[in-house]
Order: sequence, then structure tokens, then C-alpha cells
Amino acid sequence: MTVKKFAIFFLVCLIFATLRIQYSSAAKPLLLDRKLRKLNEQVQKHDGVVELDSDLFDEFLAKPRNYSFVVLLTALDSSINCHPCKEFDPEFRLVARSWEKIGTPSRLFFGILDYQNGREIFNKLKQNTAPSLWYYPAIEGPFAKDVSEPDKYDFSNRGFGAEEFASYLTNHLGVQVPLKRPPNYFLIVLSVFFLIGALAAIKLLFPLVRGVFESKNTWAAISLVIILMMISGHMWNHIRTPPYVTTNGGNINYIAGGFQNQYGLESQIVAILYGLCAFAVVSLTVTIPKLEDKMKQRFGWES
Amino acid sequence: MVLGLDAQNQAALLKVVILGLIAAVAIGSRLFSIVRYESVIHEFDPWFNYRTTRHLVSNGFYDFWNWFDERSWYPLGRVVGGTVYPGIMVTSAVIHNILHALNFPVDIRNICVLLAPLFSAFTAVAAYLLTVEIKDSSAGLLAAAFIGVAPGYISRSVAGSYDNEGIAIFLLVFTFYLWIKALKLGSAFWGAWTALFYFYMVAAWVPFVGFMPTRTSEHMAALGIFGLLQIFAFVELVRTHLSTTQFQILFRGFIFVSFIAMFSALVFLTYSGYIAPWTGRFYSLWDTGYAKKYIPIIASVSEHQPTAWPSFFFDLEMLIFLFPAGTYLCFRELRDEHVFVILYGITASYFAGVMVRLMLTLTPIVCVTSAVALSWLLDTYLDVSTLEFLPEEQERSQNSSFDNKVPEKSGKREKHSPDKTKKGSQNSSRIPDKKKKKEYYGILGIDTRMIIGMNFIFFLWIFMWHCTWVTSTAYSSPSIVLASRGADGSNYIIDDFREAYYWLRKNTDYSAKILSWWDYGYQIAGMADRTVLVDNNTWNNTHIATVGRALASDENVAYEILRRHDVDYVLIIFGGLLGYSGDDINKFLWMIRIAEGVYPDEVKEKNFFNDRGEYRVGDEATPTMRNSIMYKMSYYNYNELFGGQATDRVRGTRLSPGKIKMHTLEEAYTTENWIVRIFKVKDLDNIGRTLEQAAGFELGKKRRRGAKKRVGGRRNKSS
Repeated sequence: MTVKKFAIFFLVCLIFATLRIQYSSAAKPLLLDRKLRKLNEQVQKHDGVVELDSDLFDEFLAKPRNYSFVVLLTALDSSINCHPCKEFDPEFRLVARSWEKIGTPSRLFFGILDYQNGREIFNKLKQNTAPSLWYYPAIEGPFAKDVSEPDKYDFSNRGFGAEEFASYLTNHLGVQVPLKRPPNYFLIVLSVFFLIGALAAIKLLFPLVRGVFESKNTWAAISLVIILMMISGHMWNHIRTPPYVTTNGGNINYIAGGFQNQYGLESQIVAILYGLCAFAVVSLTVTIPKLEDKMKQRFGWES
Repeated sequence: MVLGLDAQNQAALLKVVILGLIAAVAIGSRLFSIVRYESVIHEFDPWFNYRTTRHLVSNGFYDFWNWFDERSWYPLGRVVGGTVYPGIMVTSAVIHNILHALNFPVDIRNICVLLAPLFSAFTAVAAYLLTVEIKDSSAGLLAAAFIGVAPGYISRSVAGSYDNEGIAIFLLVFTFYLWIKALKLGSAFWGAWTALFYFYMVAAWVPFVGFMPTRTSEHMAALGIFGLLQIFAFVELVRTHLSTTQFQILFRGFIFVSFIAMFSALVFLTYSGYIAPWTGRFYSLWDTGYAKKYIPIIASVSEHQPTAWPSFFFDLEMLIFLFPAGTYLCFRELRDEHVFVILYGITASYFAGVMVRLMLTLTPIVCVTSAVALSWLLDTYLDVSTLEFLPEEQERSQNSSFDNKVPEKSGKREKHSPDKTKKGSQNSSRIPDKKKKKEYYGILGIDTRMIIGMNFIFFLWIFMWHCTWVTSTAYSSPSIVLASRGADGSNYIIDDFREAYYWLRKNTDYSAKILSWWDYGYQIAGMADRTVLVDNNTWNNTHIATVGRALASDENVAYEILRRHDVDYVLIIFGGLLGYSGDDINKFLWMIRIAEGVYPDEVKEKNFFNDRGEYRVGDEATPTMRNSIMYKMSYYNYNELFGGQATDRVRGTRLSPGKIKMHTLEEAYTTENWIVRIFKVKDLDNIGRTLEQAAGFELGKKRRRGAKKRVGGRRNKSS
């Protein structure tokens, strides 16, 4: 039995030893505390976001780091004219704000580094396009995982939406990253206003436009347009968003190669051709027999 | 007088004969695959249907109903009875039993192979009946002829394509016919038949129904209409008991209250979980970007892709522009059945645009409407009663009664049958003789008739030619047997799939578990009769992702997954030698995507793209790609076949030289053209080394001291 007791004693010693090791390195927590305080101040000030420059970037990402850090390298200056940067910026801030309100504090920080303030970092990371988004996982502490390599967010695959970004972070952190999109009151009020306006207009104008609504031809036109659009591959354009036309050394290519492929203009041409053919069949059946003599029927022309 | 019959009977006889011929053509043009190859079940899903039908025939209905299939989705199994679409199996089993009762010992396989062509003949008849309700019998015959050969329908109903669509399209068209009939006559007899055939159609297209229609959002609209009808009937009842003013007040209040109540009840039930929200497949029909983002497994199926215009034209040819014309002509008459046709046309064309697969439901209505259009045209141009050389008096009397054409006039064509007693047809002059200028003259010149007539005969001829060509070249391949043509024009049959499955059947243990990508699950179960991990019934995304992860991982990680799932053999499809582009390396990205969806930490799609963002094999492949067992298995021993450096003929790339080494899998069988490769998963080492060490020892390497010794594969040692 002594062996067992000894083993337990040894185990207890071991636990204490490890605890002591953690306590002994007291300088580290101090540094960490200072960094965290600084970060949290920034977060308070900037609505969940840490505004970075080259020095701060290096400081916050330096070794004792028990938090994850996600950095957006962007170029918002008007001289650079980076359209996707402007598009993604509010989405990024939205996720940061939601995290500040609901998420665990001091676990994940959102940093923004503008090209103006951090050319060195752009060069260091070999980034010559913006925006680029990097996720740095926590290296130590309770939230650290086995991966310590930073991960680059894939904009071309995931897109610029806050939802995709939040789900990406959720995957990495292993906790739900909340996302609360504030309702766009202006849009709601506007749409309600227009809805009421439209209803009122219909109510007022109904006696006038009643003929249009009740006319067969209106409905026939609507139906035929829908059908022609669909059979000429409009849905395909909608889903795959092909180029409208392509040019090849000055020549315009109207027709895309391949069986399951088409250009925007190509499908419109096809729709028009189908429409013309259908029109020809209908007029051959309906209009021509109403013409009064042979010659007129031959040319399909009523003088 | 021909055959001693009067004109009416002659027309009826002609119609029967023509319909019979159309049915024969419909069946005949679907037999290309049998003539070229042999009487064999095609593709993937049909193999499952065939397997279950065999089970039904040999074990009886009750056993079939309670069948739990433990040989698929290992180790989960599948409740077949509750998840299968029973319509098609029961139909073939009934045919089989009837034939056997009459002492025709037909094999169940031949019934299954020929079921779809048989039902396509029925579809032609159903399309005839439906179109008769919409216009007349001449349009009906045209519709029957169109649907008999339209490639859009043939694509799913050639001999051997034993799938639900084979009978479901017939049931769809016939149910619509019965419904219109019931609507027109208001008779309970037709209504009952409609319900019966609707039930049959549901049995062919939907698994166990249960209370699903009352509990999923997809069905709420239909259920709401049903409720509305009850309210309508109730209101009609109340109306008879009340005065007008009282009724008005009550009616308005009632409408308002019931609408609010029903809507809030619906919202409440949805939120509280009684009514399931929309399913993914349904979302992908409306929000077309949905599937790509959230359910790669739906987006990965090729028949769920949107339809570009060439496919529409390929599948329907000239019908595609007669379709809008026919729809317009339906608007001119606009009775109840025409409204139905128009609505069907619009919705079907939308859905066919979203998914290639739904072209199938568009085809019947396209055939019907274009038959209507073409038949109006032919009516106009072949109507000899309006020719100019006729005496003036006679002409006028006939024009004003366009529809009551005298049959004796031209008994040659069946379209002049006297059953054509529709009133108010578009061409008849609405304004009678009062007005001086006639509304309708008909076609006066014989040359005009000739030109138009010849033109459309030419169109029809081209149409038939196109349909036959498409059927023969595009839709008649069984896809388990491939054909290629040699330089001298000789036909060469590539039968690797069946070779491999037969090898599995004969050379492996009955209880062996086979891992392959889900596409081949049904075929392995059907032809090799071995247990599979995943199959084409993709109900469990996680399990499929596990298989994808195993194939995308390096050997050590994969070995652990394979061992944990008791896998004995891994089967892959490799087209590099032959240039068969539907192989697993080309499908690999989907496997990775699906695996990443479930295991984002273990599998990363971007690791399979090189620095330039390309998905490549050979020298430019990424290390992750090169270490994945899929890559290793595909190209194992491939260089040696070429005696040095091999070329992949699908991707047109030269491979990197050097031997591919594997220590956890060994090649068990490779078919004649290398399309199917089967690898055996090695057992654990006898003396407890890892397989990597054992392989190293075999090669004469010394075991380094201090190497960690552990049973099984080592994890996290990925490169």
C-alpha cells in the first residue's frame, strides 16, 4: 500500500509544483495586465474596436498573450479608394460592437490597422492588397488551442457580410460569436410609408386602372415575360452572375463556350429570338386569317 | 366509307391507331441503351430501387415495410420501409406477380428495366387526354407525339433508368387530367379518381407521409387554401339563412377575425416548433444562393445546378418557342383549365430555371401548350373550307360557323372529326353578319398554305431528328458501362465498374465493409452486395463528412478513422489512365468542402489550393493534397505503369516522378482500365509496431531508439 500512498503524495507534489511555477513567473502577468488594461480602454473608447498603429500592433501581438486577436488591415483613406474596405468596415465594427456587449471580455479583441498608420506591418505581412483580415489565436492561458499560427480570412470565399465573419470567428473560438444587427429604422419607416402610399394609390386609382388589372392582355404579357425570361436562362444569370459580354482583342464575344455556360447578353438575345418566334406563330394563327385578300395575307400586311 | 365505318368511327379508329403508334415510338426510342449495351439497371439511384424491389418480390410486402437495412450506412443502418418511395417498387412487384400468375416467368430485373418505357407510353396517352380537355383531339395527338419523344422526359425514362420519375410523370399528367375533368364536370366520380391517383403519385415521389403535410411550412399554403374552402362553403350555408345586410356585417367581421386568427396561429406554431420551418432543399429553390453557402451536399449534386439556355433548347428544341405561343393562345380562351395550364407553365418554367432536374416537370406542360399552338396553326392553314375558289355563298356560311365544319368535306384528316363541338373558339367571328367587313376570312391562297405547311413539316421533321439524336447520344448511356470509339470507328465497351463490383462480390468476406464516396454506395450494395458506409441517400451529412475527411487526411489520421469504422476496403474511381472525367479526384473538392463543413479544424479547403490558388495534381500539388490518401491511392503504382513519369489524362498533367509509398493500405484490385481501384486496409501489426515502423522495417530501415511506441496510428503527426 505504501506504493500507492507514495504515488498520491508524488501527484500532490506535482500539482503544487506546477502551481508554483505559474506563480513564480510573476513578471508575465504584470505585463499581460498592463496590455489588457490598455486594450480594454481602447475598446471602451472606440466602441469595441482597437485602433492600431505599427507599434501597438507589435505590442499587442507580442508573446505573453492569452487572448485572441483579429486584425483588419484596411485602407480607408480616400486617396486609395478601396471600395471593399469601405464596404467591410461597418460590418467588422458591427461584429466588434456585438462582441463587446455580449461576449466574454478580454478573450477576443478586434483591431483595425489602417495603411496610413501601419505601412511597416503591411510590408512585414507581405500584404499588398486590402482589406485583409488575420486571426491570431491565443497562445497561452485557458483559451489557447494547439494551433498558434495566424489564419487569414478568405474574403473571396466567405464574402463581406458580418454574418459570415461572425460564423468564422465562432468556428475559431469555439464559442458563439453573437451578432446583433441594429434594425434600420429609417428603412422600416420608409417601407411602411411606401406600402401605405401604394395601397392608397391603388385605392384611389383603382377605378382608373381597373381596366388594366382586369385586362387579359396585362396578365398575358406578365406571364409571357416571366416564361421567356426563365426559358432563356435568366435564373442561371442570377445565380452565376456571368459577364454581360466579353471582348477578345477588340471583337465582342456574344456566345460563351461550353454547354452549361452563357453570357448576360446572350441570354437576352435568346429571349428575344424566342419571343419573335412565338409572336410569328401567334400572328400566323390569329392575325393573318383576318386579312381580307390573298396578297395581304402573303405579306402579312394590312394597308 | 372505309372498312364499312362512318366518318365518326373512322376518326375514332384513326385516333386509336395513331395513339398506338405514338406509344410504340415512345417505347422504341427508349430502347437504345438495351440495344447498345444490354438489359441492365442504370446509374446510381435505380440500383437502390432495384435492390429494394428484389427484396419486396422475394420477401413479401410486410417484410419490405419493416425492413431495417443494416448493410448500408454502417454502423447506423437505414430504416428502408419508412424512408423509401414505395410507389415504383410496388408497381413493378404487382406487374411481376401478375405476369407470374399468368405463367410468364419474367425476371424482375427485366420488369424494372422496361418499366419506365412502358409508363412513357401511358404518359403519351395521358397527355393526349389532358390536351383534349384543353383544346381538341388533334392537339391531343400532337401533345402525345411530343411527350413521347421530348428529350426532357426521355432523359429520365430510358430503359434501365428505374427511378421514381419514370412513373411519377405519368401519374402527374394523369392526375392533372382527372383533376381538370372533375373540375369541369363537378362529378364526385372523377374527384375520387383524382384523389386515388394523387395518392399514387405521392407514393411514387414522397416517402412515408404521416402527419408531415400538417407540420411543415411547405404545405401550409395548400392547407390554408383547403381551410379557406371550408370557410367558403360555410359562408355559403350561412348566406341562405340570413338577410343581405346582416350577412354583409357578419361576413366582413368573420373574414377579418379568421384571417388574423389563422395567421397568428401559424406564426405561433412555427415558433413553438410544431410546424417545421422550410427545409434546405426548399430554400435553395427560392433563395438561390442558399445551398452554396450552407449545404454543400445539395449544391454538389450536378442535377441541382441552375439551367442555362442551351439545356432548355437541347431538351425541348422547337417546343421551347411554341410554349409561349401556346400560353398566349390559352389566354385567348381562358376557361378554368386554361388558367391551370398557364399557372403550371409559369411555375414550372421558374423551377426548371433554378434546377436542371426540374426540367422534367416542365416538359409535360411545354408539350401540351406547344401542341395547342401548333394545332391552332395547322387548323388554320389546313382548313380547306376557306379556300378562295369555293363559291362565295358557301364560304360565308362556313366562316360564320367555323367550328361546325362538315366532316364529309375532308374526311382524310382526323382533326375534322365531329367531336369538335367546342363553342366560342377564338377564330369564330364574334360579330355576326350585321357588320359589313368580315372578321375572319381564313387562309385564302393555296401558296400561303403550302409555304407555311411545308415549313412546319420541316420543323417537325427536324424536331424528330433532334430528339432521336439526343436520345441516342446523350441519354442512353447506362453510366455503369461506358463506351468509347476507337480510331477506326470500332466500338469499345468499358466495363470496369461491374468488373470491380463483381470482384468484391466474389473475393471478399460477406460482412466486409467498403468505404467509398457516397455516389457509389447504391451500386456497391446492389451489385457487390457488401456493406457500405455511405450511399446516395444522403440523409446524414456528418457521416458523409467523416468519409470525406478520411479520404482527405494523411495516412495516419485516415487509418484511425478507417479502423474506427471497421473499414476493410476502400474503393475509389480513377480516370487518369483513360481520361474519364467523372472520377474521384475531380469530385475531391466537394468531399473536402463537405468535410470542412463538419470538421473545420481538421480539413481545410485552402490547403488543397497551391500558392496560385489552383487545384492541381502532379508537381504543383500542395503537400496536403499529396499526402491525402485519396491522392496516394489514385496514383499508387501509376508511375510504374508508364515506367517512369506518368501523365494524368483527365487533368492533362505530368505527375512527379517517384514511387508513392503507403503503409496502411495495400492495393487489392485494379480494373482493366484502372477506373476502379480497391485498396485493403491493413490489419494492426502483429508485434505492436505502428504500421509506419513496420513498413520502415520491411525496407530495411533501423528503428531509431526512443521512438514512441504506441499501438495503432499516431495522431497529429501530420506533415
